[in-house]
Amino acid sequence: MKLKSLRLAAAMSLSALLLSAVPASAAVIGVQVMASDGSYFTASGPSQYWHSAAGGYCGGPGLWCSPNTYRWTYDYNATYGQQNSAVWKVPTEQLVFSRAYAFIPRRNATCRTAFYTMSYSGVSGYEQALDQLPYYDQWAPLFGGKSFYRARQIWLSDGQQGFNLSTLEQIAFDEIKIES
Amino acid sequence: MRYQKALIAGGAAMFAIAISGLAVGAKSIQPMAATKTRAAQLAERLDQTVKEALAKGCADQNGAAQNPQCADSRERVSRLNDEAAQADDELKARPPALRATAEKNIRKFRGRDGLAVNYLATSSNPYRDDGARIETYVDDEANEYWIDPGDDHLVQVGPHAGGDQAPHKVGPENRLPVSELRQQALRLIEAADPVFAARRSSLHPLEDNKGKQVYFFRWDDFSAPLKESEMPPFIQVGLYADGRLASFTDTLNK
Repeated sequence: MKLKSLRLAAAMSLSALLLSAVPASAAVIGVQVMASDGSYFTASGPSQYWHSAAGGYCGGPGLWCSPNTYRWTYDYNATYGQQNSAVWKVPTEQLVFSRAYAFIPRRNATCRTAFYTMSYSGVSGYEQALDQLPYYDQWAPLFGGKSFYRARQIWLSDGQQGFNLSTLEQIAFDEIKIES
Repeated sequence: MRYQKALIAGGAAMFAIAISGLAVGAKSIQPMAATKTRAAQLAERLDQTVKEALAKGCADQNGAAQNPQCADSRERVSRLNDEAAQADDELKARPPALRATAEKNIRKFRGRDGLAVNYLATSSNPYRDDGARIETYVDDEANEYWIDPGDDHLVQVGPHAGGDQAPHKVGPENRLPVSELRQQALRLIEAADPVFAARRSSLHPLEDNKGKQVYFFRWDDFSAPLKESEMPPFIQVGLYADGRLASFTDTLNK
């Protein structure tokens, strides 16, 4: 099972107000988890730079889902520029505000400035770096707590744009969770 | 007769209190209704702006619109998104006065009475699948805190994405012995979670590090049957090799 969608009751919020403007069948309020290497995950870039490892969310705490592996790559940006990237597509575009989290595995996640980009509303995007080093088999907040209307997809590449402490930093690509 | 008068006076007083209570209640409902109206209006404007942008061919790819003429549309959508999201949050958030204990607990955890803490948003707790919420706060050192609004306990601490925390490596001269880091981690955990000491023997301990830069001290609770989409509860401290706090998580305390 590569997607877990939990439908929660809509509280009296803007989310509920927005629903009135769209067909009810199009709206999903709840949680969507997109697995690394799952149906909603697309990896790009030279295959020799991609690595796969057992563990991560589905290989540990999220034993209910699959695959039980995650991907990672080295950050070679300082020397070679961006090489590898991946996109997690939100399965059901939520006509509400959503917040995103990344699961950071215990291994292969040492990148201090992993740049994630949220594409939302079909029009705009928002990019912000996450320090993967302080996290260990846990959910980390993306985009500084910002919420996005109609979250569409999240993109992550091996290209650092900020601090580059080491060309041997590793960037992990594991589960992304969208909460509405 | 005197008794009847007392009853009448008491009744009148009760009536007056009830009326004033209703008045206070009505006053508190009015701002909420205004917030809902404002949120609905912002949502409509956002929806309309998105439709107009899409009609102009300003659909994005990986967050970057191809047509440079769409920059204005993207900016308008971005601004409206933030305004509408804030209005949405005002509907979910606790009144500021009720967040005082949360802020106090953050300052207590950091051991700094004067720490500036700002509320950011209320959202779903990613560790729970029962609709439980977290409040997000940021301090003046770009640390992000998650607080459970149900009991004001600290759920997680870590660097705030986009915050001004320049990452640096800990050199050999600044490294603390692991035994010292372990003691520091235990002190933090026991201060944050008073029941940890009593539960510790039933938890599964784990120590690890990432490149000898961050050391993690973790205790998992595998005793309870797992819910399908929730992680086993755990408590964890991540410390940089020089003893600075890297991260903290406590999902034991539900």
